[in-house]
Amino acid sequence: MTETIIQYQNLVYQYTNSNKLAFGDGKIGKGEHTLLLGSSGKGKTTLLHLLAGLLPVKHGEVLALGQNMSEMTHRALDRFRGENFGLIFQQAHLIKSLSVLENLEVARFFGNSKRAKNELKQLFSDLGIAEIASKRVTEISQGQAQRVSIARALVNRPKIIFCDEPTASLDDHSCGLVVNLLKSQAETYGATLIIATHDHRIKSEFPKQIEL
Amino acid sequence: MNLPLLSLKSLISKPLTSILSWLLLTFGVCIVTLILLVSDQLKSEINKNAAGINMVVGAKGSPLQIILSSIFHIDFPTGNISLKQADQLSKNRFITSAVPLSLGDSYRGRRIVGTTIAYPQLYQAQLSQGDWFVEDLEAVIGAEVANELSLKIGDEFASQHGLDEAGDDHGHHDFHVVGIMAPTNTVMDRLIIVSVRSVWLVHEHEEKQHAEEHHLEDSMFYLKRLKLEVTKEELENGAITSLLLTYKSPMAAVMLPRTINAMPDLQAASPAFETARLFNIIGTGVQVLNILGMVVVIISGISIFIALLNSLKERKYEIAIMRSLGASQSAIFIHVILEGFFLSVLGGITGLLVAHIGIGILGDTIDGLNTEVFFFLYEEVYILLGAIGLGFTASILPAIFALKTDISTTLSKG
Repeated sequence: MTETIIQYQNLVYQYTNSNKLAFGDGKIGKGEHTLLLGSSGKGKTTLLHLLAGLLPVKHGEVLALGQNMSEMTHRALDRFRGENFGLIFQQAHLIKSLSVLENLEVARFFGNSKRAKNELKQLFSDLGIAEIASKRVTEISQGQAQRVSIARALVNRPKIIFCDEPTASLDDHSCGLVVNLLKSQAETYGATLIIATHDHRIKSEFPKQIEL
Repeated sequence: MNLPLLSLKSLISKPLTSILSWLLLTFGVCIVTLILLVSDQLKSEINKNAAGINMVVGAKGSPLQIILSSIFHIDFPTGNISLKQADQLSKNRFITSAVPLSLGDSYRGRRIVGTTIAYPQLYQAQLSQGDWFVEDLEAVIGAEVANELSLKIGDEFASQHGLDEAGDDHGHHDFHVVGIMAPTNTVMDRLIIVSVRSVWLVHEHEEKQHAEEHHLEDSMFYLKRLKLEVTKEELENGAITSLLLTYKSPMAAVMLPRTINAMPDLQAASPAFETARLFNIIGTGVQVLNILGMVVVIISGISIFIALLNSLKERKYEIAIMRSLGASQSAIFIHVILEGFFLSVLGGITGLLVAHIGIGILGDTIDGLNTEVFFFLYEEVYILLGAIGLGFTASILPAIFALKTDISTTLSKG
């Protein structure tokens, strides 16, 4: 059995409108890329946000990298997330007032990155976006924006990369590319992927699946 | 990358709204500062020129007009008073000094004042070249007059009747310049001073009523307080425009006006009282302008507020992403506050600069204003702090909304 990277116990999320989502227990090992599956309304995104520290854990416990996230203060949780997690969403949501490169620098700044500035160049060429580094965010295509958002998630050498429907808005070809990219980059940086999705095209790529 | 840079980039990315807020603040701060500078300089100008003069006595008329014409040399005199009356008054026991002024003539728009050496001494004026006037038709000119009319010692000029440039020439009676005063930063710089008799002489000859020989033959009287030497005939018929009085004791302020105003031809005017009245009259206008300036400043604050609030709608996702990247709530708060802060600092500083450049331009066109562009008042620090405080206040609410952004809800919506 490999080393556990994240686990949760008795995890329950109570929305204000008495809608309660119970996730029970779960455990994910290091390097064990995992899909969170389930139809709409089952709480894929909620579980992902709880694990990524975007939602406060009120009932149950989440242990990530051996630390209990449920006991952290807001500030500590923000810092922990910035330093250890990378997040990728369906939409890239890049900061429009900045260039592509500056978007990555923002990630470096907020995440207290150990990565040197010139290493960003390597990341750009790895993801095939070196030539758009100095462009404004409004000038690049959606596919390019998604690659930039993947680069942004990788900037701080995260231990876990959380993805929320990363392929939902992509065609088959791009979908395959993104999945391969995610896998190879996770391999390169020794990160574990946790992907919430209902995209059937990628189910076969990841043996470990948590069905909600 | 750092927070100030991030805020700056955000401002630059929406240039039109940023420029609007900046311009509004610049304009508002400029108005408020300009009013402050102009009224301060007017006040110091007035106080400087009225210093040492307790009372002005002129012919019956408006006391304000007497002050304006005899101290600031901007209005027309109320009329003449007889030398005999002036002499009698000057012997009053409440008075230490009485300086006679004889107004009404000018040279190319500069006023010629018939007086004694005691007049420039009131302003501690020194000569930079030449000597004080002694003989008839000798003139001593102020520093500004020398400069602007390019007059040198030995130059001759003919006076004009009246106080503006359209007056008639007095003919061949040429004054000649014997002295030039050093700058005093008072009204003295803009005057041409001559003896009282010089003014009489110019007028007598124009009127051609009297024979020339009279003052050679008559015995001379010395009027001690007025420091004037006159013939008996001049004492009987001579006239001056006004007297500048200095009190011997504070009692004079109570006693003298009553005595003077009781005389049929004389009017007493207190510089302190009349300038206070003048400030009251100007004060309303100043207040209206000040309120206008404040309103513009407040509108600029509202424009900063609205601009930030509007941008938050678009930047909701960006803020959520920053949070997910590890930004704390306080970092987001500071990020938004900094935008308002930058705008207000920029607007405040440019507002002050424009006001100072404006006062420099005004100073060149309006006589009597200090033309120094970089003469700063400590109140300007308050204006700048006020502007910055405003920018801060305007961005507090948007910043609070920003830090309260629910990252999970925002990001789960796509």
